[in-house]
Amino acid sequence: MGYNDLSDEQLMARVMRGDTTAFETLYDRYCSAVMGLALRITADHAAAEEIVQESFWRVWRKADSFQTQVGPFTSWLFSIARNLSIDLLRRRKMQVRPSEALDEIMEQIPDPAPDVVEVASQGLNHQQMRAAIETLPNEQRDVIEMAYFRGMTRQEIARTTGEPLGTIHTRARLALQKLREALHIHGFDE
Amino acid sequence: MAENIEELLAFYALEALNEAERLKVEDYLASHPEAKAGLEGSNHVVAALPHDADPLEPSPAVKKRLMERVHADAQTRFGSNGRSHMRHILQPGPGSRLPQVLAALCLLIAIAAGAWALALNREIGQLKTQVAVLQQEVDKTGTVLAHLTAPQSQAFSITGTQQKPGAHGQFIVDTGTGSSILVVSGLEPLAAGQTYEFWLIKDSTAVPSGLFTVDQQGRAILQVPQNSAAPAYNAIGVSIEPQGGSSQPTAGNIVMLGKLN
Repeated sequence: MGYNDLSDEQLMARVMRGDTTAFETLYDRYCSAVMGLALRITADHAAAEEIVQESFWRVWRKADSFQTQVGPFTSWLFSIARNLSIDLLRRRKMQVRPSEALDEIMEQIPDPAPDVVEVASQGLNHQQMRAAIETLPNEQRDVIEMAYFRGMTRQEIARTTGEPLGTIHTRARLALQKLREALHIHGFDE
Repeated sequence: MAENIEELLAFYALEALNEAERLKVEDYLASHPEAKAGLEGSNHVVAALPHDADPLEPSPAVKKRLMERVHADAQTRFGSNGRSHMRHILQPGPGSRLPQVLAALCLLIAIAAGAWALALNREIGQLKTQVAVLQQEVDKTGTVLAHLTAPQSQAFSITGTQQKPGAHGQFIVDTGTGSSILVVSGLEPLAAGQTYEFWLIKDSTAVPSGLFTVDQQGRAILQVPQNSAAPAYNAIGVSIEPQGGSSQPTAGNIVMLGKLN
């Protein structure tokens, strides 16, 4: 049985014993997903690559603290990557606003062209999740986006949307409930 | 009280509670196994949320740096050496000088062999580096060819601004795969602590899309990471930034620009 045939948890058991090939297999398996997550949160390509490297470094160094009974490997890995990304976001207080340089560029470039870079191929899990997210009403989707991908607290979400806290709680609860049903329909295996 | 805590469960699953709230929920869950069981489904959903982000391959340099670090650490923490075996060979026998002589001889041979092995190792290391550099060149050339010959490739010109009027290049997009490369020439090698940074631009947003240096001839090939998250861009640019790159291009440092249309 080759490394690619091993489950995440079997690979982690080897990583705990210092098996670098097992570690590399996990990296190859999930680096794109971690990069996508980090980029989605930070919107900074260089920072996202740093987060990929640091996340997997922590997987290597803290392999002993991974507990299979607590949850699957991906939950652990994504949680590390998300926390690093949100930390960075908070530290930098990143806000998308046009800089002077951008104004300078835009002044020099007339006639915006239509779409050029097309959406690239997407993995199966990504398609399933995207399909599930699309089943949510916009206001529920926004709560998920703000809470999970922007690291906002429920109070911040309430302030941003101008809705009462109770409404935000309900939207979050309904969103998770609906996503669970949608993922089940799309064959997501819990 | 219990009702209020129940309201926090979704945000607990979303890892979006502050520390005090999180501890309060964990206390509650410890004494309410039914609530803990009910949370399982939400945890599975949240664990799958990262898949909503468009997957994107990090640059090969990320893996290279990481694996170098991991291998070095593995050597330190898990690596074995042959010292116990050597100790056994050199152990002197009781009342005899022969084993000591043999041991000394073995030690000399071992030292000589070690020195020879080190020299060979160094030579192999240098050759490996040369091969890796050549391989990178071959890979880069292959990448350019692959993009140029891809059935759905599109090429866009990028030219130097007033700061670098002699610079020019091509941005080649394989719309079939979403991958793209930037080929430039006429740029000067930068001083230490500086780097060229490539930008994909849409309206008022510039997305940092890779750092590069140029060779002594002022040429560079940058494989731009696939960015399926961005639906469209209408311009490209290159700026000079501090080492490590910037999150936004620095005003006055834009050296190349091009339109994507």
